[in-house]
Amino acid sequence: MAINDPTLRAVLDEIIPPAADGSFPGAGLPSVAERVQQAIAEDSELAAEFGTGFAALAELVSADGSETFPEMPPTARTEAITKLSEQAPDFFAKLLSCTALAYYQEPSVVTALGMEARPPFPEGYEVKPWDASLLEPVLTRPPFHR
Amino acid sequence: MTKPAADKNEKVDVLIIGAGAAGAAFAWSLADTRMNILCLEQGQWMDPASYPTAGTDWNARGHGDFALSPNERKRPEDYPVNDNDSPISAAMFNAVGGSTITYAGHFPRFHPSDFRVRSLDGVADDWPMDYATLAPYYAINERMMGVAGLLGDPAYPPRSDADDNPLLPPVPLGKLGEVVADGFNRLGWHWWPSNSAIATQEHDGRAACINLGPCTTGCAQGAKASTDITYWPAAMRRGVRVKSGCRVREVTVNDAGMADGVIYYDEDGNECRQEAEVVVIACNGIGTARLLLNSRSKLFPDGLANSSGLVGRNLMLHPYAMTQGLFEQRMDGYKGPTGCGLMSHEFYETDRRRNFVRGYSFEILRGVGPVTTALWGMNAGLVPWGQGHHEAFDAVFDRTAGLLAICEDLPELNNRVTLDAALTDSNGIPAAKIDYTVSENTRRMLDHGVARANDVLTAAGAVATASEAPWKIAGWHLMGTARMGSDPANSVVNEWGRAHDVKNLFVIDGSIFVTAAAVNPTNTIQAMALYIADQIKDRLETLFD
Repeated sequence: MAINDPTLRAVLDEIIPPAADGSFPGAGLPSVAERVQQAIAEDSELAAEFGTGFAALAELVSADGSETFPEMPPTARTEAITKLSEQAPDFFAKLLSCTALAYYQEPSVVTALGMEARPPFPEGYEVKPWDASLLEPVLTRPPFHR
Repeated sequence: MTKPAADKNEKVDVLIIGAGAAGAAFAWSLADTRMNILCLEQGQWMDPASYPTAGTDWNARGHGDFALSPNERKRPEDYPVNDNDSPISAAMFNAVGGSTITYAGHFPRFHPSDFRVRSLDGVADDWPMDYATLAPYYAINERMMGVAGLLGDPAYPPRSDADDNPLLPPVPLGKLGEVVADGFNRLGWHWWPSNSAIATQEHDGRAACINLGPCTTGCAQGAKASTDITYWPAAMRRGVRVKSGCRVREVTVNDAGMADGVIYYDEDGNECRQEAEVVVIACNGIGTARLLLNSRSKLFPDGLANSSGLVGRNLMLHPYAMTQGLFEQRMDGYKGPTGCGLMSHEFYETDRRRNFVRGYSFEILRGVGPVTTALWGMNAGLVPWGQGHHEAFDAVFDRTAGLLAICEDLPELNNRVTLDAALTDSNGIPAAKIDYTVSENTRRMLDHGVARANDVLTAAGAVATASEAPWKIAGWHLMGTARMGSDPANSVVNEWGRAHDVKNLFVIDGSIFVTAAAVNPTNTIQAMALYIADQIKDRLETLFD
C-alpha cells in the first residue's frame, strides 16, 4: 500500500530531523520517502505492517484533535511518534530501519558524512601500504605452534 | 511426474551436487580422469556487474538481496533454514561459487594440532589424517585460489612449498588495522597479516584488489577468489559441465543399495532425473545433511548413509565473540577488505591455566558503511531517533574497529541438523532445522575472547567497547554433520570421503570435519576436496570394493 506522501515525509523528518546547523537534510526528502515507498511496495509483509502502523498513528493524530500529522505542532508530532514507538514497538523498529536504509544512501547525506557519493566500484579506494616495522616485535617471537 | 533432463539425461560417470568451494576444487582435480563429470547447482552464475558495490545503494543491499541469512535474502534459489532454536543464525549463499561469492576471503590453514585434539587435549577425536598429509593440497589450493599473505608466522610450521608457491603481497592493514596492530604490540601478543584469498596484484587473469570494502556482497572487481572465477573456468575447460538452477531433492539408490542418481527440479520447476555412476555431495554442513536426510528409501529409511545415526549431528558453527571498539578518531574503516587485515593466534592452542580447552583466533573487522552504522547504532540504543541523532551518529560512524574471536566449538551430538516438520523450500522440499546450544567450554572461551578483545582495543586507544557473544548473524562456518572416520559406527564417511554405507557416494564439504579448529574453514574444505579427488583417482580400479 502507498502511504500518504506528506504524512510519510513528516514522519521521516521526525525520525531523522534536519541538522540544526544545516549540515544534514532531514529524512523527509522526497527521494528518501520514495525509497521507503518502494521498499513497502516490494514487500507485502512490510506493507501490511506499515498499513497497521500508520493507522495507529492516524488514531493518535485524531485523538490530539488534529486533521493530519503534518499539520500538528512540532512538539505534538514528536509526542505522537513517541507514543507510537511505545504502542507498536515492532512496527517502530521496522520504521527506523527503513528510514536508515533509505536515508544513509542519499548522495547529499553521504557527502555530508565526508564520503564520496559514488559506488565503490570501479574507482575503489586508496589504502596506503602498511608499515611493516609494526611486525618487528612479532618476528622476534619463537615458533609456538603444536 | 519425473522426466528426463533437457539434455537427454545422459548418464554421467560422476555427478557433483553443489558448485561451491568444495565442488569446484573436486571437479577441477577429478577432470584429470577425463570422466564424464556433471555438477548440479541450485543457484545461478553471478554477474559481477550486479554486485552491490557497483551501485550507490551498496550498503543497503547488504541488508537486502545480499543479506547473510537466506531467511532474510529470500532469493528464488535460496532455501530457508529454521534456526529459531539456535543462538546463531545459518548463513550461506547459493550460486555457482556457493558461499565463496560472499565470504570474507580470510584463508588460513588449520594448525597441525587441529588434527590431533584427542591425542593432545583429550577431547573430541583425532582426524584420520594429519597436517602433513594435507599440506600439499593446501599448496595446490592456494595456488589455484591466489592467496595474499606473509610467510614466517611463528604460529604455523614453515612451508616446504614456499619457494614454489609464493604468496601475493598482504592485504594492506589500513589505518584501522595499524591501530589495532599497535594494540597487540603494546600487550606483547601475537598478530600477523591475514592470509587472504584476495589478489592484491593481478593474478591468473584476475584484477588487483582496489579496496572496495564489503567483500561479503560479492567482489565486483573480481579480485576475491570465488570459485566461479577460479576453479570453475579451469574445470570447464577440461570438460566438466555445470548446470545451474537445478535443485536436488534426493539421491536415489538401486536394489543393491548403490546410489544411482538424483531427482532434481530445474529452474522451471520440472522434476527431472539424472543418473550417475558416482554421486558426490558438496552442499555445506547444513545442505548436505538435509539432502541425506531427505534421501529416504526402503533400504535407508532414516536417510542415506545414516546407519550410524550421525547424519546431521555434531554441527559445529564457530561461535564468534564480536567486540567493537569505539575510537575518537576516524578510522577509514570502510576502505579495504572487510574481514581481512590481521589475525592473532595468541590464544589458539590449549593452555591449561585457562578454564577451557582448545582456543580461538582473532580477526579484525574493518568499519562498516553508514547504513550499517545507523542500523547497528539505532538497534543498540547508541543513536537515537529525533533530536540528537546526527551528533550521536557522528560519534560512532567510522570510529569503530571490530575484533572477532572465532571459537573452536567441539562436536556434540545434540547440536544438529534435522528436517523441519512444516517448513519447505519453494519446490516443497523439507527444509533444515538447526538445534544448537553453546557449551560451557565454548561459553568460557567466548567470555575470554571478549575480555581479551577489550584489552587489545583499549590498548589501541578505544574509549569504549561493546560486545555480542555469540554473534547472532555469524553462522557461516558449517561443519561436522557427516563426520569422517574409520569406524562406521562412529562416522558417516571413511578416511577418504566415501560413505560407509554406500560405496559410490562421497561427501566432500565441511560436513566431514571431525573437529572445527578455530580459523575460517574454506582453505581446509577445498584441500580436503582435492585430497579426496586424489584418493579416488588412485583407486579407480577398486573404487567400489
